[in-house]
Parts: sequence; C-alpha cells; structure tokens
Amino acid sequence: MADEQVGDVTAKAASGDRDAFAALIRRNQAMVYSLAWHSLGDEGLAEELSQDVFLELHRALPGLESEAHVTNWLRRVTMHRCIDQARRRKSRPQVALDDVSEPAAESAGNPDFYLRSRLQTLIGSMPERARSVLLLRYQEDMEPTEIAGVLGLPVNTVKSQLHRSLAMLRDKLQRTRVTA
Amino acid sequence: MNEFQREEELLRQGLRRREPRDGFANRVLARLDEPKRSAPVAQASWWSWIMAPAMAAVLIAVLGLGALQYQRVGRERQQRAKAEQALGQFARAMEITASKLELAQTRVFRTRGQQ
Repeated sequence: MADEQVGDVTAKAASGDRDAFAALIRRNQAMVYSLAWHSLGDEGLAEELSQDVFLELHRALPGLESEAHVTNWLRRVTMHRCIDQARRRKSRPQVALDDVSEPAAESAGNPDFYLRSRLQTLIGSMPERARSVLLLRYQEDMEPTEIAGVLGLPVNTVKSQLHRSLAMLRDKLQRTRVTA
Repeated sequence: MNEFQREEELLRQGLRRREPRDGFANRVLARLDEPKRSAPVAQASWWSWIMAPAMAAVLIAVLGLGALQYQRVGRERQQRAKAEQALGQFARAMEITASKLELAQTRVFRTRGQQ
C-alpha cells in the first residue's frame, strides 16, 4: 500500500501536481542536502546545489517511474554535481589530510561535537572521489556495488578507495580519541 | 563490538543526515515559478522593438551630422592651406620683384655716374 502511494506520488509529480512534487522534495531533501553539505562544507552552497538538483529532478520526472528510481537518480546527480562544484571551487582550502591540525583541548568538554566536527574537517580535506565514496557508504549506508553504480566506477576501485580512505581516517581519529 | 565496527559506527554518526532550513520545499517550488515571474522582462523586450528603430534613426542622424561636420572642417582646412600657400608664393614673388628692382636701380645709378 505504501509503495503504491509512493509510486502514485511520483506519477502525480511527473504529471505536474505541485503538492506531489513538494512531497517528493520533503521525502528526499535531507538526503540531497546532507550529501551536498558534507561534500562542500558550506550551508549556502549546499542549499543552492540541492535546490538545483530538485529543479533538475522536476524536468527529469517524466522519465522516472518509481521512488527507488527517483532516489537513485537524486544520489547520482547530487554526487556528480558536488564533485563538479568541489573541483570548480578554487577558493576551497585544499588541505592535505596529514596537515590537518589537532583541535584545541577545550573541545574535550563535548566529545560528540568534537568528534563530529573533527570528522567533518577530515572528510572535507579529502579528494572529491574519496569523499563521495565515504559519504555514500556511511551517510547513505550503500554497498560498494551500489556506490560503483552511482559514481560510475568499477567496484574494485570503490573498494580500494574505501579501504585507503578508512586507513587515513582511522589514523587521524585514533589520535583524536587519544587526545580527547 | 570490535574496533572496526566502532569506527564505522562513528562514521555513521558523524555523517548522519541533516535537514536543510525550514521551508526548503517551498523555496524550490518558488524557483519553479521564476519563468512566469519574468513576464515583465518579455514586455520590456516588446517595447524595445519599438525603441530600437528610433534609437537607430537617432544614431544614423548623429553619425550623418558628424560626417558632414568632418567634411566641412576638412574643406576649411584645405582652403586655409591653399590660402597660406598662395600667400607664401606671393611673398616669394614680392621678394624676387624687390631684388630685381634693387638690381635695376643699382644699374641706373651706375649708368648715371658714368655719364
């Protein structure tokens, strides 16, 4: 029944029903916005990019048949736009992962905030593709085969990228945990 | 839970989804309406179809007047140059005449002296 309603919403949105399209946006906005926010590290840019993605979805809706199709389409378009945007953004500070300094000791008062903010800094300093793989794996809980489909990469590349990225993060995070 | 699982859990927590600011869907829908709101621009371009020939006529008139003025100034300059050239020739002729008169006068005085 729920799938029927979802499919119904997608079809209605494709036929120009604004309420149905608004429902589709609300259902997927956290996913799209979070991918953009974690990729770009900037609220304004993430908001703008997310809006652009949904406007593009509105044009692409007649070719999308199901909610799963819509979700997959949104992940793929968002990630590719994020990668393009990050490459274009020369102003984004390009910090080597090993050069990211340890945070100040006063953050130890709030370990959750400390770890999340540290993690975001570390992920933000990674190359676009490595960051995209990590986001799809841990924000979207996707398997390497699904990530490969979204990013258009071989599965083995995704696996090795994931392995390398985790090794780098592990090293930094262990140091963070020791200082916290 | 082993160390690797704890790290993965930490990553899931750190990268969990977050909502955009309230009203996100409305902002997207508002942008969908933007082409409709751009109607006044289309109206302005309709006026521009009337204004364009008028502006072109004014531009042609200004350019034409400028060309006429340029020709007039050129003609005046040529006439002035010719006048200056004629004046120079006249002055040169006067110099020659004066020198000839002086020569003739000298000869007359010399002839009278011999007589």
